Amino acid sequence: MSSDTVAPEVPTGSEEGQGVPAALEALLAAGDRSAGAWATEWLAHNGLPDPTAEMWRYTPLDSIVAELGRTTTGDPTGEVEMADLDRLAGRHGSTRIVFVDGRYSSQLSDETGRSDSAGAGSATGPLPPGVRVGPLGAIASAEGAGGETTSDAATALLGTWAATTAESAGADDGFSVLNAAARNEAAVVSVPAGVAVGSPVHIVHLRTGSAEPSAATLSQPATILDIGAGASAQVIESHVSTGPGVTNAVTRVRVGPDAHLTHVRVQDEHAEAVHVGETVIDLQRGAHLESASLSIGAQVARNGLSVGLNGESAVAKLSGLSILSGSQRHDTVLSIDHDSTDCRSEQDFRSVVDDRARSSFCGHVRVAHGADGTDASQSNRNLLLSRTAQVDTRPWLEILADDVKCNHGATVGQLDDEALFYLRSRGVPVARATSMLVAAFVAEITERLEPESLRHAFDDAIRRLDPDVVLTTAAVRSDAADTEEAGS
Amino acid sequence: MVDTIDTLVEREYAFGFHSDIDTEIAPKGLNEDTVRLISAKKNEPEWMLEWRLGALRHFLTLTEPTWPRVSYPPIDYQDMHYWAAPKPKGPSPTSLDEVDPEIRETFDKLGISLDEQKRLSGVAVDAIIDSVSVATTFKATLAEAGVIFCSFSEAVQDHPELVQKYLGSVVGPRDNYFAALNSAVFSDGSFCFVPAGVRCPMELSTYFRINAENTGQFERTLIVAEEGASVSYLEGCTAPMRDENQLHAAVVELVALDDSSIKYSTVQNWYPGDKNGKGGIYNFVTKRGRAGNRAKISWTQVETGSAITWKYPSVILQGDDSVGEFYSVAVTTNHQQADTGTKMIHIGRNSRSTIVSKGVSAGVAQNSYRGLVKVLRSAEGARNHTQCDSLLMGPDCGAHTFPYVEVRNDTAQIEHEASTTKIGEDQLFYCRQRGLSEEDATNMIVNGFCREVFDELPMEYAVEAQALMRLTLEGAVG
Repeated sequence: MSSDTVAPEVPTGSEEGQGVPAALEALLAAGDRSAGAWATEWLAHNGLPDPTAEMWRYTPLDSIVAELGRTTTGDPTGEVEMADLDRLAGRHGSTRIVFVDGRYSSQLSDETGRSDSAGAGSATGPLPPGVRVGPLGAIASAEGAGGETTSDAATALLGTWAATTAESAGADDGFSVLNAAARNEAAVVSVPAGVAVGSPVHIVHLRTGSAEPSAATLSQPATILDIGAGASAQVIESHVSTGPGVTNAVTRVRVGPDAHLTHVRVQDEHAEAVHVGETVIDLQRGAHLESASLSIGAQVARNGLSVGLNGESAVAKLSGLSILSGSQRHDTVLSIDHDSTDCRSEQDFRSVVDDRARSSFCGHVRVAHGADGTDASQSNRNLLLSRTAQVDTRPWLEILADDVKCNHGATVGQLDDEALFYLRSRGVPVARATSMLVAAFVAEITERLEPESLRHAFDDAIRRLDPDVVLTTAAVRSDAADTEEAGS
Repeated sequence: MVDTIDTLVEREYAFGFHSDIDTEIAPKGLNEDTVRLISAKKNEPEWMLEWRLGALRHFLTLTEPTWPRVSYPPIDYQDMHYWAAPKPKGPSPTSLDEVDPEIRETFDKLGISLDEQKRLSGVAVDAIIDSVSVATTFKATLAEAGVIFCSFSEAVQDHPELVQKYLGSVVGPRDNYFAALNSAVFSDGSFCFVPAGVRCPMELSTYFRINAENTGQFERTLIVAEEGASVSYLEGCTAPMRDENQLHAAVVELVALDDSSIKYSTVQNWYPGDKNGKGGIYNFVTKRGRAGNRAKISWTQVETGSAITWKYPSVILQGDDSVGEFYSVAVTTNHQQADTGTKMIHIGRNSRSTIVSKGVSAGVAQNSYRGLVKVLRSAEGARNHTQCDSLLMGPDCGAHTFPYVEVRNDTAQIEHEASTTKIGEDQLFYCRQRGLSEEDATNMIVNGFCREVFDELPMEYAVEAQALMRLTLEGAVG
């Protein structure tokens, strides 16, 4: 791939830079322009998404671009202690691979589960043979599938779907292309056909802050998950950081015929951070996906998730939860494409919004012409806990086939007065009653999460909500247990 | 199924006749001269002309919106007449009996005989052909009650203070692309003013018709209900069958002051084009009302016509305890495209709104609901319930739902529900088992699907709407 492949009329001069934010221009100039030739070319021409584009209208692009501009000055320290890592990302399962500032850290990674280190032994035993977990470069060179660039290696090893390319990038894909331009090593989980991976694989992408606390850093991690036909796996993807800055993450997923993937994405970044995430999932015939997106940290976050139901009878069960306080602004944008017959998609997305925070949601379900037998349901529920909190929701359906069953519902409101009254009439103080109801609202999403250690990711976020009103789920649980004990 | 759809597309547009009325027409083109000509023809005061010119200058800086989910070839705004009026045969009529018999005949064909209306139904009608109001019935009866109901041109002459006060107060001349166009070149429309405390003694009605070729119709309706007043207003539209597309860009403004209520019902049956999607009306309309304290604005619409419909009747719920309602049935068949819905802007405390939207799509039509519910910080205790359902008839049509909900007050309760289905096989089977033909069964099911909205229409329109539905969907069973 070289710049020669780009149409000649594409100018690279500065006049085209008019449409490109100055921040991006500086960023491209600061980096090695030769690194991702096509990507820098593409960005110089197309720039970042247009703030008036429908799918970006609720995303605070100005804040993202401003922070991006600041990252040209900050150098990440790259220093992380194991204790920090455990505190930030948690431990979920025996295999944990860690990327610091987009680079693989073998020191922090726990590869006991990896097949090529079999014999090291662990409580859950090694991963089954043939399962590849680790940095793309190492896996590719071990298998002689190396290439000039990251996308070459990804293509050679896994196929064209795994990389962002000039051909696949759409007009609004500026952030994905920016990620490709960085050419960081992708985290790969590749499960061969028919193999069931018993324990969860945990991928951690950590961005370190700058030594200077006021400076911002940039990290552009990539993740590729490839689940072969009839295989099954659970992958947990955590995004954390130790200082202000921008994380621009891209995740590409393919779930093969009749394969089963549980994918949990946890975004719990530094309170001043900006997070942009784009996850693209391809579901083939009979594939089954369970996905949970948990958006807790970062001042500004965009969580983009596109799911293509590309083979008949594929199933996608998607859930998501945002718990926001302070002046956080999170935007969740889903795009669900039913391109095949007899597919089913379910969405259950919720947000709890306090203080001056703002949560936006867009769920765009498209049913293609001929995609008969489609069953799509969508639910977006939002709980407002403060006078100044804001919620925007767009539950969209676009349907071009007639043999379909589609419904959607969205609600925005306070806690149910009647439920509060019921609890209070039974002697529960109002603060406790409120916290119980918030906990119950959140638990309907979190109690499905496995392993259980994931459910506690929310305790901190819930604690940040108004302390007079809300207690943690854990407190409510233990309280309930106390009551039971007292009763018995 | 395929057979029945074929029968459907072969149906004729029942109102597609063209009346041979002598028409006075302005040269093609959109410029200050055109605007000055229109204003001069109507003998308008200086302020009215300036208002139009301001709108035109703003319009020329705008680009046509592309966000609706409709597609059509670019419109050449210069290749169009902006003024067409039935040429007066002698002095203007002073009573109904003096109205040109051919025009009267036109309305008779439409089923709105002005005489009949006058004698029997007690509905006051303002009929507009191509841009100009030709007759307003029942003026005297209304005047007794203090209600002013006349054409917009008359209002500009006779009640300039009222027009000046309220014109553009809800939909400003710079509001959007088509509203700016309308503000520049609007030719006539209806004006209604109900003074404080008056309950309008009869249903008011306007009938619009595009008759001449290559003309756009740009009418402007302004309804003002003063404190404690109430009025119910009906609007109906038809056009002759023509191969080329015709533009209809109207503006309707409703001003409901404290404790008043305005009910606005529309049965829109503009020519939808032929079975190949040739011809038909582009219906790009801006409708909005502003409700004061405890005031109520209710929009009911049955949209069966037009090649393209682009309209979002909205309510600004400015007053405390104000109420906004939107009941809509939109039916699209053949190549029709509709992108319609509503906007409810909650500003006042305890403001409430209800949205019920039913979309029926058949043939290769595209039917979209697009709506906004916005609750501002001041709207303590705001409440909205939205229900939008779509019914798909046939494998090649589309039904889409694009709701926007923006909430900035935590005491608001907002609920949105939507569903998309086809007519249930079991429902059809049940009806047919009991001896109903497939067509009757379908009609019954579709009517049941739309019942909630039809119930909101005034009685005489409810009957018309159901007949129209049957006609529109004739044969489209499946």
